[in-house]
Amino acid sequence: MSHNKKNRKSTYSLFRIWDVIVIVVVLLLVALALYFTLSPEKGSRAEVYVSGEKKAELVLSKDAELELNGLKLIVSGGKIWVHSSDCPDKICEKTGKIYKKGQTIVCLPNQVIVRIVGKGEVEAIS
Amino acid sequence: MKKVAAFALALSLLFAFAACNDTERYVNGFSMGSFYYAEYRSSSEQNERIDRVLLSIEKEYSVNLSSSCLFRINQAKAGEEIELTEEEFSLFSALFSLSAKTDGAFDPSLFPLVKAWGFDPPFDPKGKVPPSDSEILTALEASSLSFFTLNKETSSISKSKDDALLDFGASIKGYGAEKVMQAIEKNVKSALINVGGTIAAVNRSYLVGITHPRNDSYEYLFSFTLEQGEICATSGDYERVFVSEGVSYHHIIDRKTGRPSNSGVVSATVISENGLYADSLATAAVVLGVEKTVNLFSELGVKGALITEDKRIVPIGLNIIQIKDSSYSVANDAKEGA
Repeated sequence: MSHNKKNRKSTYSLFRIWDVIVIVVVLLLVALALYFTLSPEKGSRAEVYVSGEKKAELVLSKDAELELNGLKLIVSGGKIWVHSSDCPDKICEKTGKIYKKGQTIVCLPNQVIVRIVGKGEVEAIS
Repeated sequence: MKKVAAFALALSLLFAFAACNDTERYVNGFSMGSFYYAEYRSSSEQNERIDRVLLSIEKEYSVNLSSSCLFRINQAKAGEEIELTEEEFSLFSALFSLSAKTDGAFDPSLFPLVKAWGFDPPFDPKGKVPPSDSEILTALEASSLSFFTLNKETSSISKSKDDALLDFGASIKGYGAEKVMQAIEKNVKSALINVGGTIAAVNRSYLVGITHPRNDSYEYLFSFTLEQGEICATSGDYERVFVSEGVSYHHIIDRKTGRPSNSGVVSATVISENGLYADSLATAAVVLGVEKTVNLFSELGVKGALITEDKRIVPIGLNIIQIKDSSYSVANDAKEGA
């Protein structure tokens, strides 16, 4: 009787261990998948729009300066920011340096939007 | 309970990966000697529309199908009037005037020469040898647009030499890409149309890579942004090539010599909202060389980039984003906008 009981207990604990391992592995995989899908990737280019119209496209890997519509933009070290602006609120300056895909700088008074796009993977070959 | 949790996690994992894919590729076609595809949230209605556009162009302008107006013209005797539809007529006029603008570097009447070299479709490089000098000369004599007359009043075309032949192979993919764009742009959010490497960006911009002309272990040599509504086409001396006695011959024939072009430009990409321009001028640029092309492009208001034999990339009004092969350099000085 007691022999039987012991056997059952050990089978049960072995099952629990595998249960835990499976869950941990699945959790890790989910975490990994979420990391790759949700983590913002570094952008490669900044698009500059004035009044909704694309006026310039800057490559983040190449240092550059651009003045338009009262704003002075600087690209350096893979990031872009508004160095100075003639707008009253200076919100665009305070936004700071951006470099991740999807990040934006908006200057409402001057109607300028800077948007970081794409990692540089091409979508078609000609 | 644990099993349910594990199952739920596995399910969420599946969705995490599935979420990456928000467009699908619709591949159905083989037209104009190339595969075509469209990338967008496809619907069977739009897919059918794309097929219809490209297959009807193939039917109308293939040199090998008896349904095509080009087939009829090429078969016709001198003096015979071949009727054209309104659309055909305007395509013919557009191509004839474009050829004149390129000073014959792009020339749809070079088909006798293209045939003499064996580059007419379907092309098979096996066992090909170049034509003799006299064969080239004979073909050259039949290769001229001046043998063709468009008659607007009767909407027809005739030719004055029996063996003068036309072929729109250098332009038709661009024409097709533009027609597909026009057919679907009001009905889709965005789409990338690829007709055998000639690409149209419908309703949004796309990042496009240009084939490395000398080393196919690179996915592409450089990339640029194709803006919404633009079409890009690339021609290069690395396509349709045959080798005979250790010498390679490519398909872009220079009418000045009757032989494959040797201008120093090995690949040309042209970007325009006009698909005919993009496709035809890519061929012209390979024949013309850097200097003449830069002038021509600014005259016609198109953008593009040339790759030269000596590993320079010459952008013409184009922002090059990334270069994959560091032995190539961008020549973006005085040439630009010259």
